Amino acid sequence: MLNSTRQAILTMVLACLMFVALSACLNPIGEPSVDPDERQRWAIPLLQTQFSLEDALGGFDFEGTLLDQNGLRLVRRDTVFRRFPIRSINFPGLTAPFTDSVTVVNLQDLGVNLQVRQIEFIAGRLEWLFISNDPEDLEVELTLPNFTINGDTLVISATVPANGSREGFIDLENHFFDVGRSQQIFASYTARTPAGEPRLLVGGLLQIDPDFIPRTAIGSFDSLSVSLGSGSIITDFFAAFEPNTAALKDASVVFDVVNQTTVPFNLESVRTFASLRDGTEFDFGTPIDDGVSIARSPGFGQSTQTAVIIDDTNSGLVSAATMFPDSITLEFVGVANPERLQEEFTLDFQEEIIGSFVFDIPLQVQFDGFVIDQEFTFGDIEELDRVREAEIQLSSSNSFGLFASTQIFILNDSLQVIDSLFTAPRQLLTAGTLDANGEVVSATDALVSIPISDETFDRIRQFPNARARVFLKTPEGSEVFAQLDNTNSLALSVGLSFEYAAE
Amino acid sequence: MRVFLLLLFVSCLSVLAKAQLDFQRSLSYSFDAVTANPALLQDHRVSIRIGSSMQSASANFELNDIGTERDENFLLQGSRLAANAPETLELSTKFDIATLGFNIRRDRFQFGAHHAIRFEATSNVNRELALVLAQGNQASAGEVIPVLIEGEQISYHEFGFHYGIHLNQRFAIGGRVKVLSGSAAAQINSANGSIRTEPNSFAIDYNLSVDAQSAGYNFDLTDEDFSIAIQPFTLDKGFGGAVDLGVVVRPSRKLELSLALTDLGAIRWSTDAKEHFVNGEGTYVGVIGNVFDSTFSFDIENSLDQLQNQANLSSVDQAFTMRLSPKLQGHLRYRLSDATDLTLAAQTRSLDGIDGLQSGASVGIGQHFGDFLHVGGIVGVNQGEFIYGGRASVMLLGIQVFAAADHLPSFFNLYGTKSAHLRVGLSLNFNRIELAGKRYGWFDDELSTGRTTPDNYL
Repeated sequence: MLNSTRQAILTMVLACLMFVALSACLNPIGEPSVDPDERQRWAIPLLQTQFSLEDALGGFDFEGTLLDQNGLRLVRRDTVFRRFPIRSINFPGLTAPFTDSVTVVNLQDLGVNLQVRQIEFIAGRLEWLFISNDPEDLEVELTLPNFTINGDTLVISATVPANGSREGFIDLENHFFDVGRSQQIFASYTARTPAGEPRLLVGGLLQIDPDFIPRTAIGSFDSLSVSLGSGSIITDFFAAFEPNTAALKDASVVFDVVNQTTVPFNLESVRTFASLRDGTEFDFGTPIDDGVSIARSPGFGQSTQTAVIIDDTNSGLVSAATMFPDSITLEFVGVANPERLQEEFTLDFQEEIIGSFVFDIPLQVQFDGFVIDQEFTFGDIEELDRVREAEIQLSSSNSFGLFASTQIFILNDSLQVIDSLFTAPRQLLTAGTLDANGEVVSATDALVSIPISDETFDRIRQFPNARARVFLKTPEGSEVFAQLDNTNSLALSVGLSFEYAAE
Repeated sequence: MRVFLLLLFVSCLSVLAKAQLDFQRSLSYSFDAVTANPALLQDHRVSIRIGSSMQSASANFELNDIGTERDENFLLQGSRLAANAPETLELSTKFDIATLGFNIRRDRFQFGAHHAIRFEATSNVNRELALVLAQGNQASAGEVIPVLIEGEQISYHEFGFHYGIHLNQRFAIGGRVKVLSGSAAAQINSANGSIRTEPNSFAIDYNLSVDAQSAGYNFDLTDEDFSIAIQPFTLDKGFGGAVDLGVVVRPSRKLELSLALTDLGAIRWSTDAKEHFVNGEGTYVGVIGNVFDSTFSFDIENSLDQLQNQANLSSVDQAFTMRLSPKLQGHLRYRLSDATDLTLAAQTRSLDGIDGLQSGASVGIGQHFGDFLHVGGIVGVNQGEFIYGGRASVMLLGIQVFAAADHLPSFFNLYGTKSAHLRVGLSLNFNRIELAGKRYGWFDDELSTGRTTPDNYL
């Protein structure tokens, strides 16, 4: 019995051992996986984009972008000044003493050159003052033949108190003031006591309030100086360029002056300078410094346009533009009738002289600093932690005459740059083939693979926000300016190949 | 789609890893014989199965053809797969874990019950696609890769209740009713198309039409995560039933024929059951947009989402019915002596997920030394491959340990064979039936008991 029991126990133990041993054979091939030495590589497309330079520049939204069939031009038009020359006419304060009942004031004797013969007023005031030392009140009647309204001579009547004075003004609306070619102001008055006895005043004054508004003015306007003011042009469209990294071929500035008056002018610059990014100012000078004649309008309601070409032969403005300034400031003055012609001209209150600054950049450029930023995220994918030996592949067809390089910055949560994908910007796109004129004769297809180290990829997983910065440049060492055309386009496919490590 | 295919393939391989190759339909002594054919009456009045495990797999390629062993783990190698694999990789696996079962023998009849967890999977994958899965798609960039996959997988719990009876000395019949409780299932109803990776841009041209079903996988093509989570012990993903039928005929004193038709049934999958569709034609190029547009944004995750949408990947809740793979087994046994017999065995299995039948046949010889030791060997052909195997059982005081393998080379060189099989088990057997005194071997007056053929019924 004991033996049987021992035998039974032994058998059970052996049986269990055998069962366990056999069961151990049930997993003979372990955990199956892909051999890492086989370098299993996956390839997926990430991005397909196609854009023209117009697309690339569209974000700047500056006024006056013109596209024509011959090429792409960036044209910026800014009005520098817009002035009514008639507003520049002013009268010095004239005091006309009445020393006798008839007074003739010769303005030239007073050293006053009115530059006008006749003015019609929209608004204005003629101020007067009578002074008396007579013991009686005096009735004064002043006749001013230079001032007329509806053909009638202006007469001022007033009572001057005994041993006193009296002042007042006349509204000059619709009055004419004509000093004649002799530039003389006539005034005659009578002063009588209440009994009708004639008396003389001690004196009197006449003065046109300088805040008058003329409707028309007739005169020679000899050397009338019209301040055209100072205008600053904010050159925000240069923001994408880095200073001193680009050359603009045939970039020019056209200063357009429209003259609606029948008066000839001479345009003179007071100061022209560019405000550079470093805070300094760069005086560039223009042909206007020496004066430019502005043609007169042939008649009322018409105008003339005078274009002043400013280019690198006559100005430092193009050089200033190459430094991609923050703004350009121009200050001008206009001198009417610079030839001091004897004829008379008529200025109307509606006639303007308008100065426009047209910055014209045919996109024939040679630069290496055109920078475009684009922020994106790699995403937060858990599986990315098994991505190894990643490689970005770019397939491009480039009909721009520009090379493109890129740098991808890795950003932290505050979008600050903490790392970059490449040690230096990588050239991605090869410029299209240019002819001698800088025109693209054929697009260039290129394929570029950019390896990314595992360490960098781990960092990307940690900080998935990124900023792509694209640098466009003309072919290195090329003397040819690339002609950019709105038909130029860039087709770019971005793919990612990687090893996906098995778990 | 890539992930789906990868998971399908790897899931088959993982099964292979755990189960090896199987064709053998061999049955263990005592209780497992009843499991295979309920008409086979037991030699003991009480048989209790403690547990058994059967793992088998077969393929039309060797593991060496597609990979290698390193640190006792199988490593799939694209280079070998490209050089050696057949045009279509065919793989079939089975994995059974049987827990408790019992059989009560009373005179001319027997009855009992058992529980088992069963897993079966078959899949066919064309070599080009398997290469993409093994090497990634970059190596085949520029080539049109056909997508030709077939397959099904099913895992379920089986609760069987059987009954067998001797009708007379020449004829015995038996049957089993099985209640099935599903854990997971998947089947590809149709899948065809092609994919091509453009070598420069990595754009993916695709033309795919896939209709598949799954249950218990927590798998949804519209989810961002294509992960699969099989829970093999869940019972509530589907319910069904099946029957097994068996018959034993002894036309002469030395000849016995047994037939069993098993797994006639189906499971209705209704929990977490989905039908999946991939139906699209086009080119996926990643995110499309003007990078200089201020509203442009790029995100790898969104990029992959777009692929998901563009390929019209969809999953809808849809209950479905999946039949089991019926099996027909036949054994013709010839008695050489009281302790030695010769058996001709054949089996075929109808597969639902792929076209065709899986069949095999073998000849075996067995020798028993009372109930203490049974040994034997077989030679045969399975799926066109020559096989040979052995089996043995040891029983003392009713405690029996048994093991069987249909293709012994797989034990010594698993990576060099196309099939493998292993069954191990432990059972308790009490009250040996003694007819007219203590006798072992053939009973002239009773069918089926005392058989020793090593290739099937121990």
